[in-house]
Amino acid sequence: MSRERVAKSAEELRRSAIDVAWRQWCAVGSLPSIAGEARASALVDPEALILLSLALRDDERRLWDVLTWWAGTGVRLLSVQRIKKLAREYPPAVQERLAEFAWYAVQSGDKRWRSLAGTGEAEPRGPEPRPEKWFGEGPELIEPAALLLRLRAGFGVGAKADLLGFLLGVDGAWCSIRLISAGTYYTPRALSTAAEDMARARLVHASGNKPVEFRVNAKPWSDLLEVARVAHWRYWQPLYAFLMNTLAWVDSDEFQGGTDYLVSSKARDLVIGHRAAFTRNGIDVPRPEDFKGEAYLTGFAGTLRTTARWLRRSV
Amino acid sequence: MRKPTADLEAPLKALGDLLAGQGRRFAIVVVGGAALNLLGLVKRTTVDVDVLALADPDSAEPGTDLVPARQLPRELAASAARVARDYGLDPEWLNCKVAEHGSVSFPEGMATRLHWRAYGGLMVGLVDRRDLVCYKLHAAADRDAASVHCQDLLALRPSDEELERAAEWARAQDPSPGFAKVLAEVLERVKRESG
Repeated sequence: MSRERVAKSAEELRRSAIDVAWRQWCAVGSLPSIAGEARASALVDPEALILLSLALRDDERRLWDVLTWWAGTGVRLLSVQRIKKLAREYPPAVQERLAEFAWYAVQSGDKRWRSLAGTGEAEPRGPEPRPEKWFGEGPELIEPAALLLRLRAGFGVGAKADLLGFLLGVDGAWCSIRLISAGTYYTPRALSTAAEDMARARLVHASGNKPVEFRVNAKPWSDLLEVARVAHWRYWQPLYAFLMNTLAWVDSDEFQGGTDYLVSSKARDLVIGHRAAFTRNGIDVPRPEDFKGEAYLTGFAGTLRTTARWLRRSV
Repeated sequence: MRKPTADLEAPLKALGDLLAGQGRRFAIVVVGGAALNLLGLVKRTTVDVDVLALADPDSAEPGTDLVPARQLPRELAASAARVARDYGLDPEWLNCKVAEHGSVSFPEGMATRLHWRAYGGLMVGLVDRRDLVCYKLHAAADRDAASVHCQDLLALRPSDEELERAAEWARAQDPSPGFAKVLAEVLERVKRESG
C-alpha cells in the first residue's frame, strides 16, 4: 500500500517536473506558453534544464523538439565543461542522451561539443526531430528568468557571468565562495579569481572579513538590465538530480520487485544522498531518521508530494 | 513460552532481505539476550545481537562446522550497518563481542541443538536453552551476581542438574580461583531465588 503511494506521488512529481521544464523553456526561449500556464519566473539554470529535459524526453516528446531546436540556435550560450560536470549526477540514460544532444550541437557548428558527441559513423542521434516543431531563429532572452543566459550572452560563458547571476538572484545577500560554488558548480578557485576581478572592477562588493564574502546591490543592476525585478536563484541542479534519479528508480525493476524494506532503504539513500536539494532550496520534507525501517515509505511519499508542490509554486 | 519480541525480528528480516537482494547468504549463531528473546524465553528489550559463531549457510546441517565469530564478514557487516541506519540502531547492534577476544568453546552437543531460522539471505541459529544456561552462568560469574546475566539466568529457571552441568563447563573455561569464588556465589543465589 505504501509503495503504491510512493508510485502515485512519483507520478505527481513527474508531472510537476514536466511542467517546470516546459515553463522554463517558455521563459528562456520566449516560446508560446501552454494555455493558462505562467512562464517560469525564477532564474533558469540552462545546463540543468537541458539535463532535466533529456531525462524527461520519453515522457514529453516536445521536450526533444525544443532541445534539438536549442542545439541549433542557443547552444553557444551553454558551458560544455559545466554540463559534463552536472551530468555525472544524473542516471546513466541521461548521459547517453547528452551525447545525442551534443551531436546536434556539433552539426550546428559548435565544435566544443565534439568531446561529448562521440566519434565515427555510429554517433547516437536520438529520435528524429519533427521539422514542423521549429521555435524560431533563436532565444530572445526577454524574460527575467533568462537572466543567466543574458549575462552569458553579454559577458561570455564562464564563471563571471554565472557568479553575477547567482549574486543577483539572492537578494543582495553576502555569499561565500563555497556557497556560490554549491549553486553554480564552478570550482572555488575559478570563482575566487572571478569574484576578486569583479570586486576590483567594482561590479560586486567584497566583505572585509575572512573568508571573504561577496554581494551585489540588485537595484542598480535591475535598472541597467531594464527589468522590474531580478529573478530569484533556485538550486535547480541538486533538485533535478534528485528528481531524475528517483523517477528512474521508480521505473526500474528494483522498485517493482524489491521488498518494502529494500525499497524504503533505497528511498533513504536517495534523500540522504541528495539532501542538498532540500536544504538549499528550503524544502521542508520528512526526515528519514524519524521513521523506522519500511515505515519510511510513508515519509518518502510525503517527500515526493511536498517536492512536487514546491516545484509548481517555485518555478 | 512468550512470543518473540518484534524489536529484533524486523531488523533481522531487513538484514536478510538486503543479503538476499545482493545474492549473498550467511549463517550466524546467536547467543545472549537476543537468543533469549527470539526463543521467547525472556522478554527484554534488546537489539544487541551477539554473534557467537559463523556457519555454512548452504550446508544441509549448518551447525556441523561452526567457526567462532572473531569478526563479521565484510558484506555482512556492511549490510548490518545499513540496517542500523534504517532502524536507528546502535551501529554495532550485530556484533562479535562474545568471540572477538580470547578463546571460545561450545558446550558439548550445542551444534545439534541449535534452533535455525531463515530470514531471507540470513540463517540464524539460536543457542538452545540448555546451552544458554551455560553461557549465562559463565557471563554472570565473569561479572558479578547482580548483573543482568544473573537476571537472565533466573528467568531461564534452570534445574539443579542443568546448573551443575553449566558450572562444570564454566569452570573449564576459566579455572582461576577468583572465577570459582564468584561462580559459587552466583550458583548459590540462583538456587536460592529459584527455589
